[in-house]
Amino acid sequence: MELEDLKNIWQNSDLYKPRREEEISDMLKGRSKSIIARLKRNVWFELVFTITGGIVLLYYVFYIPTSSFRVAFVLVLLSFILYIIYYVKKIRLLKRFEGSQGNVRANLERLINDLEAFLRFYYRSYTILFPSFLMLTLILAIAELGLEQFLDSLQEWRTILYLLFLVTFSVALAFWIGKWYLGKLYGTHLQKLRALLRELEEGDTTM
Amino acid sequence: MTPEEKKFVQLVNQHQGLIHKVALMYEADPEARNDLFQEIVLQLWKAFPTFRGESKITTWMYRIALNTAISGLRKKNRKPPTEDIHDGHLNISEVHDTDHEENLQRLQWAIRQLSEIDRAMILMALEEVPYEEIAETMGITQNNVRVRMNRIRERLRKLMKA
Repeated sequence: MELEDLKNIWQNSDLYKPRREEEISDMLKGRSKSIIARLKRNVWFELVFTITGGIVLLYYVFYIPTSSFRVAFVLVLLSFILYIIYYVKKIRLLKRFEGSQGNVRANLERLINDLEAFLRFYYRSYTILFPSFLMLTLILAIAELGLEQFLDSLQEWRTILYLLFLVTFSVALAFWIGKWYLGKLYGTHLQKLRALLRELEEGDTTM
Repeated sequence: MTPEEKKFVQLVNQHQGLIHKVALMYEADPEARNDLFQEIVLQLWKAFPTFRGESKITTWMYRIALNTAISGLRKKNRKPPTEDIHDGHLNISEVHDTDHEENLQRLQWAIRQLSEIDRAMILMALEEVPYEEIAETMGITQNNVRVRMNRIRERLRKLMKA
């Protein structure tokens, strides 16, 4: 069967039911179901949630009687600021995925670069955020117990064991689990995009 | 509806066949195809303000539609593409010619066996898009298009006979 025969089959068929203008217009009011659009919506939600939480926390800081608790609350507030910076950066990176107006090859190259940059950022933030959480937990524990009692409790083997577990857990979470999780979430997609690009490039390099 | 929206809707309406056919190439499941159609329309709408008419409107539409379909940055299929020739999910209201219907279903099945890149190229070839424009849309040389098209044609011929 020649290409002309295939064209004949293809072009002489009613392949679709045309949409009315009203239906098309309604589509513009819909929300994108793309992974990127959903990720962006989630990050926006987290950002608004963090800002609201931060404002509430800021209000209560002034009513805390104990100064050690106030320090702890301020530290939590600082971590909220870090989170806000993190979410803004994430939204900016996600925005880069939009606008697929280039040719297919250029679009694939751009997507791969952007996805790699996004994963690098995600991974780095994991490795920074989890140890920061550990530090924050320790500071909160000191704030609650007082430095002297905290140092006393370090003489008990159970506390040391618990702290060791906490350190191991947060480091494992930050490095290996973070890497595994990101690979599972986006790895297959990245591999698929690379394979598609290779397929397109193969033809041009073998010319 | 704003004048811009009206202009856009008219444009999509005029060229909706192109979007339907891209969706048909990449999604076997009608619901997933419907989602892809809508996703392409949304992506076109987002890009519409930046369209300056430097390329043909159909080239611009093919680029966005194919990028949306190929990059796959959308919800996964509810149902994987089927291997069954008789599950082509045609939107044909009335098909009088049984042979023609069978050939069309076979062609659709054969096309779905191709890679996502090859599907994009055969779609444009079936729609009589010149090789120069296919090369421009895909970002490869015209020579590469020619070589690939020969290979795709050969593969389709075998699949159609199978």
